[in-house]
Amino acid sequence: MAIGQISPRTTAWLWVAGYFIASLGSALLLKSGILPGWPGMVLFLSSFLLLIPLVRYTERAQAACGFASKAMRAYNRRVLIASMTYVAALFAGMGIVRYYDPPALVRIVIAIAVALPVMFMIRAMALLLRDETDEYLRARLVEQSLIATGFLLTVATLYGFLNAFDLAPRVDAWAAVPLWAIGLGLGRLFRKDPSC
Amino acid sequence: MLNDLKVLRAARSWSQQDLADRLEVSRQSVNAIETGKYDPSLPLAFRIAELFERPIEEIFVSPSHRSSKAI
Repeated sequence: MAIGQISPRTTAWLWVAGYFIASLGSALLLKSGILPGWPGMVLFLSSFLLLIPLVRYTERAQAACGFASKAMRAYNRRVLIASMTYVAALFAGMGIVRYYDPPALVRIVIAIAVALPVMFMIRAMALLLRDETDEYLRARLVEQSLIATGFLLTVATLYGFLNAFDLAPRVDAWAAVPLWAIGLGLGRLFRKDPSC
Repeated sequence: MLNDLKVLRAARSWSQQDLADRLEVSRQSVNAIETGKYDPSLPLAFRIAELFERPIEEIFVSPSHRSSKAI
């Protein structure tokens, strides 16, 4: 089948798969020592550039499925910028802490700098819920957000007690946002539109 | 809530996208309303009624009302 015949939805999923393979593959090359140091780090960071076509093709798929809206496009753009900034801030922060061992005050500033792009992602979701003028799409987003929140609270409660009874290792609190995002994805799966 | 949106749209040979553009909503909204998965708000129901130049109750029918009619 020619590339032009692949549906926008399939193309978007191929970019999602490509992004995960590239980022996990390059992380493995770096971590295993096959491609150590700066070359490995540059390759790993470069894999995040795939987020740009991923978002572009996701928007095309959303348009083909009738989900496109001005608020959704703004959300995609905000999350893309925040994600790229997050990766840059995270790796810069990790590098500074590891190689320069800065004092506590500098560590606080680094922690805030890394957390800020994630806060912008949360803000992007809030703005999407506020600015979405299509009542059906907004209702779906609210429902998905509730599913994501329920998922996060359930997993956090269960894991918290497993950890309290020494059955599971401690997990950093920043994992809450990625977990919530997984819940959002689950919410989309549960409310998948058959017409798309 | 039951509705005759699909019939009214078909009578005008409009696609779901045509109707969505006229109502300034997404195509998914039109699809969800037509298939009964989503009940529109009162303002949107009024916009639909005004577009088709019919009273709201001619387009949107209570399920209990339609079933009592059938009896």
